[in-house]
Amino acid sequence: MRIAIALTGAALFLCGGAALAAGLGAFDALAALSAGASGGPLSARPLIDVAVLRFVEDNTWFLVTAAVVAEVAALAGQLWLVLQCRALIHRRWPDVDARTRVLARSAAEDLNRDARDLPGVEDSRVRLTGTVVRPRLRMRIVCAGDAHLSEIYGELGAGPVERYRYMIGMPDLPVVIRFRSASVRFGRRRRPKPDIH
Amino acid sequence: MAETLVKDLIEEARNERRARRLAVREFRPRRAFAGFAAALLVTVVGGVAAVELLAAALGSAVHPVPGVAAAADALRRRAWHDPEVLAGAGAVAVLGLAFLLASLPGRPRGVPLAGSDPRLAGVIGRAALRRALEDAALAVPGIERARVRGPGPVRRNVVVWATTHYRNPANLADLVRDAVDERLDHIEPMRRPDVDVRLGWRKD
Repeated sequence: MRIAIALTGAALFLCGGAALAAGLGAFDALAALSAGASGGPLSARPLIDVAVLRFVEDNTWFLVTAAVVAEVAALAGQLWLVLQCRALIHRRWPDVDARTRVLARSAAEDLNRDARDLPGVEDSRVRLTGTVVRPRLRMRIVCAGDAHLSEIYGELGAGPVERYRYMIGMPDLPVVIRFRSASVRFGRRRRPKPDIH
Repeated sequence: MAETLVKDLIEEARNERRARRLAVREFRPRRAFAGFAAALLVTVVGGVAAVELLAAALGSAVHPVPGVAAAADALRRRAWHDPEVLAGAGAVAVLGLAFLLASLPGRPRGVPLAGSDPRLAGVIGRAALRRALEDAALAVPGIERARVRGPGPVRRNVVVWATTHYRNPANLADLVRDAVDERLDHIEPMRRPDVDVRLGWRKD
């Protein structure tokens, strides 16, 4: 994903930069050397120049090659779009068989109950996502502000999460846990004033 | 015995490394919007160019895609140094730069937690971590206010600004540091930050 974004960005940056340089006259000297002063400076020539049209007419292979390259780019872009949409959909609806889905639902109830029983845990939600090849279990745990997070994390990994994996028959299922504080406030904190009666 | 111990240590180190790799992969920003925009751009531009170029290669004088005839006509009339062309080229370069910046890894969403299970990744939100550390600082007797700035992309330490109403703070800064350290022990982030305490007190 990141490499494809970088390649698109690099292509756009190079094209835009080259066009900007051509417009500002950076290639004028180079164009005068190669073609003489017949066509004037490059920056003053139109974008679709007569010389370009002549080159295309003389070399019939050029248009066909450019069309094939553009077609390949369009197909790659479509494939990339489909893959992204698929990943987005499978983050919400897992691509697993019906039996695994039923097992996951009942296992999720057990996992939520076990997680809520841990000290400091106020709420727990789980969701199985991804595909059969790349499944993920996403957990969201809401804890009290002073909860012992490392203990909760260790306990979850050792017990309830392991039981969930066993129940749905995926022993290597990667599990992603997000911890949230029960109440998050922003800004400078003050010690609460004691009540005076 | 010693061989088993060494094997266990190697296995544990390998598991920690794999757990860290899973956490980095899971919590790194996905850049979904940039990816979607780039894919849409490549598809549209590539598709339009392919149709137009194929039509031209087959000798058709007609532009099959609506709007391309007007664009081609404008390109024939405008020179490279025209302000509109320069502005368009600049916009394309800026868009490319934005995509390049979006392709950088970026910092993880939240603070990953330490662990040695390669199938498990945990994270706590930055705001939740700051609030937990502020609570720890406020629990020190004499501390009136506390504000925490968490670790960032450049700075690796946690800075705690605490204020007391005492005129003589004595070892209050050490007590705040110990309290925040203890809370960090409870949380166990993957990269343990150093704690830097800046204490303010009454000067009147």
